Amino acid sequence: MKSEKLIEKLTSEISVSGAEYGKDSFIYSEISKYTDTVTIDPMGNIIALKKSEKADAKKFMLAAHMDEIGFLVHYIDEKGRVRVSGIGGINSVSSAYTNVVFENGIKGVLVAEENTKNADLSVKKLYVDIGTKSRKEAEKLVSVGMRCTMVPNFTKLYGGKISSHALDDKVGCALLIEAAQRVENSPYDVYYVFTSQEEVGLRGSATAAFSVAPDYGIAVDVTDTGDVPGCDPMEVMMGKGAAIKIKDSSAICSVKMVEYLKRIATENKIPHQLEILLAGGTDTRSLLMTGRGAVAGAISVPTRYIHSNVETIDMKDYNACLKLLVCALEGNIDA
Amino acid sequence: MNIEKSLRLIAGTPSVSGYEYLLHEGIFSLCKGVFDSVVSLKDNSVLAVKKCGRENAPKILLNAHIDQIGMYVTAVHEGGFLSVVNIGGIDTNILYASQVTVYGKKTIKGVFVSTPPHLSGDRDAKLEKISDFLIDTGLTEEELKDIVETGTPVVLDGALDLLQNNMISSGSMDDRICMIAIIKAVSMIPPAEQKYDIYALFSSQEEVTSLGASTGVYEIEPDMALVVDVGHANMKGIDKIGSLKYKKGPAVSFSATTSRKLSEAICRCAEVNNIPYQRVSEANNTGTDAHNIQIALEGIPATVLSLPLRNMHTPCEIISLEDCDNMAALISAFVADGTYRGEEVCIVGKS
Repeated sequence: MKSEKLIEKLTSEISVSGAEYGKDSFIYSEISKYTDTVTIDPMGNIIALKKSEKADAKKFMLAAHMDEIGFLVHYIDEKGRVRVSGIGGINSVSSAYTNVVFENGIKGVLVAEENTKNADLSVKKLYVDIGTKSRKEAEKLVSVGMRCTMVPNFTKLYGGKISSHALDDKVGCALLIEAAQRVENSPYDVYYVFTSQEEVGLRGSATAAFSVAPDYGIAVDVTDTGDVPGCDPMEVMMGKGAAIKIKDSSAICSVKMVEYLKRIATENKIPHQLEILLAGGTDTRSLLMTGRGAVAGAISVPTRYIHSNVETIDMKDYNACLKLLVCALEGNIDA
Repeated sequence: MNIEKSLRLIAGTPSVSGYEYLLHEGIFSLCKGVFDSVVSLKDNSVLAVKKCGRENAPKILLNAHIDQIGMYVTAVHEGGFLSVVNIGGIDTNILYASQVTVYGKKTIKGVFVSTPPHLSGDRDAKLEKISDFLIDTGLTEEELKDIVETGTPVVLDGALDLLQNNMISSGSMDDRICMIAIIKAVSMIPPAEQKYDIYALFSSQEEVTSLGASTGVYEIEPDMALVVDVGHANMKGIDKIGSLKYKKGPAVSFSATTSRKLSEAICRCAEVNNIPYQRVSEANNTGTDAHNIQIALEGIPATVLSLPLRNMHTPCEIISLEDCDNMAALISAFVADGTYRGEEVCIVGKS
């Protein structure tokens, strides 16, 4: 499957935090093709292991989160309107006036109360119109606690750029799947882990890292860019290659991992850039801090408009990240 | 087991986070005859165990926290005044002229000083910091220094009153009332019907760090966890969207971070047994011990059962006895039902 097609499939599957659909998921069916064992733990993490040929191989864990931000039904009013609360960091401006779909396939439009000024827009001012006219009617279709997210909207833009909701972090999931397909003769037992509940506090990766207890770890996620109007200054630019994380607001990466990734990128002529993300955390924290800890870092895909419906990446960067990931798993961090 | 009587038994005992051991004697006497064993843990939690005698029975963790919000003394001032820091969330608007008890070498009464209305015209209308408040105990500075020191716990007085319609108002209801509901639930299960090994963890420091639940879960390694805590009942000033209704039974959590399968299993059990329940969805964080219990070890399926309560974190927290009885009935029915077995770690091999 081509990378774009893979990403399109992944973004079209609803996986709002806490409802990641382990065994029925597309991720599960794909990753089980390329790995030896797949485990689903009580948090819903998908943990796929590809054993090394080498005896006593050290454990290398990759983490990409499969959950996405979304909405949770909170209250159904007497007119059949569905009030929701936000799961994860919701951008209310982007969310207003969009098509949404619930876990059970029911469609709706997420809209704002009339006469709400942009500055006053918050999730509290939004509701989902599913076409029902009474609470009774609505309760037959949706119930309190049901999740919804944006309808699939994967779009190819000019020059190899793509846009979709939930690229955060379905591009990370795609990278893990494609890496598992390509990596040959890794000196490590590689754990490809698709984590749950990242958007609500890096929760799935904590229990996954506990059970895997890795020696080395790389989180694969999206990062902001400094190349859009009105943004805060940031070195990372879309199109300039794989971003090797130095730090974000949840973690400072192991210097050993940062130096390794820089060396691998340089040796293999992979376009790369260094990333300091001022606002936002990643599963890197769980890799570094769970149990006895691990030498860990992160590879990020530079992404514009994160947490909107139109997150945008350049496939050139995606390919650089893929190559870096594969080379890192085939190389030797201790060399 | 009578819920009101049980509450009265411990109503006068303080358990500000960090000082939960003061309540242990009361908890032990409430648990007497209900569990196989009851022990205090090193961080001031209490663990009560009742096994079912079945082979390979799943372990269920029933959790309620035993600490209450309160204050610690920070300084003794000239003229015999005390200043304090809050332990857990306190709205300083309720402090003016409220009565307190100071648990020093002697237990003494005190009141927060409040400028009389004749003179308070210039008082800053905006919320004051708790460090701006003073407590008057009637003692002089020297006398006070013999009785209190930095860290002495202080509690807002909140007498237990029976209101109409079987509603009760009291301080520190959060979360003792749920501990009592759990004990009652366990006492109600006929031994032959019990399907899980019960580990009741009455946890410390929920109001500050969730310490007791975070460490206690490693002692137990449960297969599932029911966290029983209080939730906001609807009233003026609280958004009706998402708040709980009195006398409609316990609220089952459908949050992003609670186990959907466990919650559904509890709802099914309530329906089969004709026990009223309501659904509630807190988006990201339930604000309870469930948040940390779920991500312990390799992950524990955990959910929250909430008891509707008004005026949370004040000396007059109000609950309905009917709701407590239904809470106990639901927990008891769920442990007797036993259909839900926890989440299997599912391993699929290729070769």
